[in-house]
Amino acid sequence: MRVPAPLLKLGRDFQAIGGRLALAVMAMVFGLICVVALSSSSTILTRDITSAYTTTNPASGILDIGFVDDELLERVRALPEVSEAEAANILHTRVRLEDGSFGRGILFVSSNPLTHEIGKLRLEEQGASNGNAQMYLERRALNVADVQIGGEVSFDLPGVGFTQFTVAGTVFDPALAPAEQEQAVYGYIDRSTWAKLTSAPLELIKIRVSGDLGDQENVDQKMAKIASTLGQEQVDVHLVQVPYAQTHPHANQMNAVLSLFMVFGATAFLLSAFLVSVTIEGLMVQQVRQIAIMKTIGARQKQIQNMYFSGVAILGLAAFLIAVPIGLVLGNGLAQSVSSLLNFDITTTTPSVGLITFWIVTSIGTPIVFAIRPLLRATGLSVISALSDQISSSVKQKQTITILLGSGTRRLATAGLLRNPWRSALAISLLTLAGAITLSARNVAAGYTLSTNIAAEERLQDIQLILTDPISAPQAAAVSAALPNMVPLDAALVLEAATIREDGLTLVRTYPDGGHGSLSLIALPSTKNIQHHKVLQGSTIGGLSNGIILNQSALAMLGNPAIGKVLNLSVDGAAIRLPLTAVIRQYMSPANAYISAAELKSLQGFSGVNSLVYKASPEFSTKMTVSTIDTLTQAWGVGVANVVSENQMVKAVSGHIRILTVTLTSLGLMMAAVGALGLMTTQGISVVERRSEFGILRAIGARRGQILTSILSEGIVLWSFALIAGVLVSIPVSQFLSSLIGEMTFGMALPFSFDFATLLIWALGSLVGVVLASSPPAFSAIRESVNSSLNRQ
Amino acid sequence: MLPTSSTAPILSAKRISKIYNTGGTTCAALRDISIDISPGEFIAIIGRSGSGKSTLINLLAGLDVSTSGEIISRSDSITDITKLSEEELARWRGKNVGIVFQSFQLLPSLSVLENILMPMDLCNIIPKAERLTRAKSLLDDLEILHQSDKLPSELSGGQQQRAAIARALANDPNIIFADEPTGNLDTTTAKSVMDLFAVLCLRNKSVVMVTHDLALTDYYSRTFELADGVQIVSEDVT
Ligand SMILES: Nc1ncnc2c1ncn2[C@@H]1O[C@H](COP(=O)(O)OP(=O)(O)OP(=O)(O)O)[C@@H](O)[C@H]1O
Ligand SMILES: [Mg+2]
Repeated sequence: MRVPAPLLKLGRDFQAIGGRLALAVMAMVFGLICVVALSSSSTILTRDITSAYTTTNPASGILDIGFVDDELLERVRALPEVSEAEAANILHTRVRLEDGSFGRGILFVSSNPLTHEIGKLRLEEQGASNGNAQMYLERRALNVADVQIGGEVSFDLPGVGFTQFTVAGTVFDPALAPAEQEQAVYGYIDRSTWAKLTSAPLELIKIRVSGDLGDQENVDQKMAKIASTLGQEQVDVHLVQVPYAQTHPHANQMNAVLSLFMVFGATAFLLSAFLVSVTIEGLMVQQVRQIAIMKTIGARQKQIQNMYFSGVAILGLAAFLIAVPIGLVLGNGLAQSVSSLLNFDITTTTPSVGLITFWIVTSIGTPIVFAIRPLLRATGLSVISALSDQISSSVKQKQTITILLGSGTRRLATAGLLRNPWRSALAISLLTLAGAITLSARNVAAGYTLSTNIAAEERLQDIQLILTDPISAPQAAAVSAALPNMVPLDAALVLEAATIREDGLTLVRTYPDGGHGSLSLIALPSTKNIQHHKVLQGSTIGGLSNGIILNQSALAMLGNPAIGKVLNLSVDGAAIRLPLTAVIRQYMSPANAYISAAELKSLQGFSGVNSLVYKASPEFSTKMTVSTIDTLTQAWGVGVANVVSENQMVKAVSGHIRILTVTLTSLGLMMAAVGALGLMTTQGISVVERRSEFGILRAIGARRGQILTSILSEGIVLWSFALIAGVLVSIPVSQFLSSLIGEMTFGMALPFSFDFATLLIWALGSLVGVVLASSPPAFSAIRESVNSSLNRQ
Repeated sequence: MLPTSSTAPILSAKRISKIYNTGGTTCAALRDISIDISPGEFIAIIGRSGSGKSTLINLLAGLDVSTSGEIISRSDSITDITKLSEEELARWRGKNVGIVFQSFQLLPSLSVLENILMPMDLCNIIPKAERLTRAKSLLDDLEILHQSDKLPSELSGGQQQRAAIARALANDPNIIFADEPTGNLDTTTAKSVMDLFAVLCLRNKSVVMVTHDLALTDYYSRTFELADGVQIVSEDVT
């Protein structure tokens, strides 16, 4: 079999510019890797996050009633809006581990965690049963509890105290954040176990509404209707929790971040495909005459176009074949780390047929689309005009501009840049984007560090101890007296609060774990503990006497009310109406609303303190502190429910941030690679096109050094434009990312911080890259003899 | 020296003109030119530089479009090539004409043999199985078979021109157009190229050639002289 001559010619044409084509294809490979990795991980993740969550049959909502018996449950089941209903409890309490230390525990009580209809969990591992009360732990809570299946764990039950459970097995609850992130032990027991151990009632009813479960409007209306019907029947519904319908607590944030990454990846790919087009354009400029010859010997325009288009398609295919396996591996890695961050399983990593088709179409189609313009232009020229070397008028214009711009090497460099402004613009955009993404990634990371530093500086206490029940002020003083190594700060009463809607209903979008979307009402004796925070709105001068002070995340949660607006909060079924007086900045903090302790007492009779905060001396130990308090407060029927230390806060959020900055930095590096390849390609083309020009210049007396300087200064001009543009672009991008990531993790934007160290590294690194990219073509241009450069066509 | 064929013309140009419009000024490169080309004819187009010779030959070969007039081709059907689309014209060229340039215009990246195969592969007129044999026999005819694997840049001017002629003959066209094919060649080499054309005429092909070299008049069956885009005289040389 003989290779047809047109194909042979295509092969030889490509071979002649092989080095540059390889660079362009390599750039495309990098771009495609980003696209494949991000689109595959994003489809894997979106598919599995939803399926993992929905297979648990999550409740449409939860009614907090305070006392649920079978009769009430039957009444609720009979309502037309209810499709399924079930009594449950979610108890925020503390656990005692096998080594005697205390930790945070969340106990989920339901009819049967494995088989019941609502919120069904998947059994991960089952141990042998023994006579003890049985409990299942969330699979990732095993490590936090430091226990094996068959081991023991104690939960503090209301009115009973610490009760020992045997760990019967593990379950997988995808709706919860990983246990180690929350530093909480998630336990699951059934109703009969609960009833045997304590006389405390079940407080909640989990409900799946009738109708479309995915329709937020339907769910909201039906839940509201159920609550108001029960209200009319004298059943006091304290709180209605309606999470986002059929949506994993992190699904929206995850999608936002993934789509942002996708935009970066797609831009990288588009620019790299454009690079291919520029390379083809460079080839076409050299091919104009040969195309005309082909036409004179009978080639039709279509034949020639098809020939080059198939060439471009082959390049795209090559890029596809190289990029897809790598992209898949990286995409799976990303999917794995995100899914483990959010605690759900990946069922399959096999990309769908649709996705593979999409990759093939983009990798082959995009360079073809970008090659259309240069190809049509080169093949559309009439034979006669292509054969006679006519200089187009636009070239003459550019020459006039360059003559105006200066003399000597500077003029040569400018001429080089203006010779093909599109190409120069491409090189600048590639470098700009690389710089912008790298800088943004590091800025966000720096913003995160800054926010933790500010938070650490502004957090007066080293340790916060949350008690199971409030104690009186004298009792609190006695506790502090027993802790000689600790300096007590103002103790507070912390209560779960919710907003009351206009229809009088208290409806929150909190998920069952209570972690996402919760608001704490903190009653303080004075503003002493918060007055050092930056005031963002309003004034704290009047202290707490005039109303409520919110932190920024609480402000966002309440829908950004204006200063002076009366806030309608519900605490344990009691309503509190007070105006908003100020908004303070608190980094790394959940949503807090501050109220005066005296005010709260006079309004609703809440008193005492349940949050003790201390500045600790260096030799303090959490364990000793907790056991000291526990011994002392046992007599009052109170214990330490939760310990919040700075270390733990950081642990909870740093995972979120790291994966983001790592991904962003890798994208930045990919872009830097695409940028460097782009620059090498464009500089290469630009020098090759001007070889005979350089030959003429040298023939008339230009020294090699002058030509070398002109080519290098061209690169440096590109570099400086790209550096400035990169910094300019990185500022809004960093701000956007900081606010997105900040909102996602602490409900408020991260402080903007510009990472000058990275700027310096990027500036120097890219300068070196530019010089390295410009050098090979520059040296090869001057190494050639004058004669051979002149003989180039 | 060579007999004029008496059969009907294979290509007839009727009152063709070419007017260039450059920056407001018009320049009539050709005005009302008519010419018939019959099988076996060897026509020399002569005239001073700038008289419109290249323009005429480009129009006749379908490389350029006339401003007015018609060019009737009578190969297998009767067609006015001035009415053809770019694609149809390319097809027509591939089938009916072979073109030889003063500067050879071989494709530099292909070997001599591959250059000859190119028009055959592009036009699909010669059956696939015959192409290689045909290319070799053409090269053999032109006495450059031993050079067939070389690149054009490795050949002498005369050898390149022979390769170009072989390429022009690849699809077995009826008419060969040549614009100063001997312009870059020495007298001896030029003569051998002329002999080649003469042989083609004997095989009933028509050759239309632009030339300045009046020393070679013996070869032509007639000359067609242009001056400032107008025909001066058309006479039979014999
Ligand atoms: N593309 C063009 N645009 C404008 N005028 C043109 C163009 N091509 C040719 N001409 C003009 O048409 C006239 C004929 O040119 P042509 O190339 O046919 O001359 P020629 O007889 O082949 O000359 P030579 O012997 O020098 O090759 C000339 O006056 C030339 O200036
Ligand atoms: Mg001419």
